[in-house]
Amino acid sequence: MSVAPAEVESADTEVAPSTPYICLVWNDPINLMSYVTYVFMQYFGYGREKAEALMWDVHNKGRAVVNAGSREQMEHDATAMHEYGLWATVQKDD
Amino acid sequence: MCEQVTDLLDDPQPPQEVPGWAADLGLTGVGQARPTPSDPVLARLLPDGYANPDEAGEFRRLTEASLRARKQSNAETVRDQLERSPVDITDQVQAWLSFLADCRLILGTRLDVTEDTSMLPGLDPEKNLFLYLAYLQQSLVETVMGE
Repeated sequence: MSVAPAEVESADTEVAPSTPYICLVWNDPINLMSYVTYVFMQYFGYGREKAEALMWDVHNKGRAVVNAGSREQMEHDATAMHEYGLWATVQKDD
Repeated sequence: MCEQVTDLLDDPQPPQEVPGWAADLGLTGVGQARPTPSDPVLARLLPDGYANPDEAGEFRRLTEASLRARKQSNAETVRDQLERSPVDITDQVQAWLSFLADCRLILGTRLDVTEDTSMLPGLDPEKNLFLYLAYLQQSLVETVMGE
């Protein structure tokens, strides 16, 4: 059985083969869970389920990876999160 | 609250002026490298983007001015709309939600809110305002999410 070269397009984001950087959102005791969910849906365009799952990860685990990509992209995302009042950082994905 | 937010966010180190030709191209000065704000309220509104202080400082140098400006602009949008009657915020929902988040960050940081803080109103007017803004923000989020 031969396997055709796989070209997978992720349902939500188009991710380059090398995605060296990630954007994390950190838990904080002030922001409302509903608002955090809204931000993930509004800015990243995630569906309700994914946005809520990420929100719960932030809440329960202290932080969650909300996106991956180039350094510039992740810095752009982190800045956007700060504009919404969330706290985000960028780091190398390793 | 609007004035408090705009005053708090007034940039003590505005980006350097750029020559006319650069401004025409949409380039802006990026200012000096700066450390994390020592005021905890400001530090929460303008958080570090990297764990490493050098990277955070560089990130801050490039982004803090525009972040301050965006938050001020949100506060001004809200203030302008409140001065009109009736208040119709349909086109500016995101500005309102971001502004409410910033207000709650300011108040919450000043009140030293933690996960264990009681969410019941009491005698502290600042705490009551903090809780009231939560109610406002929650209502607005639910409305736009169609709940």
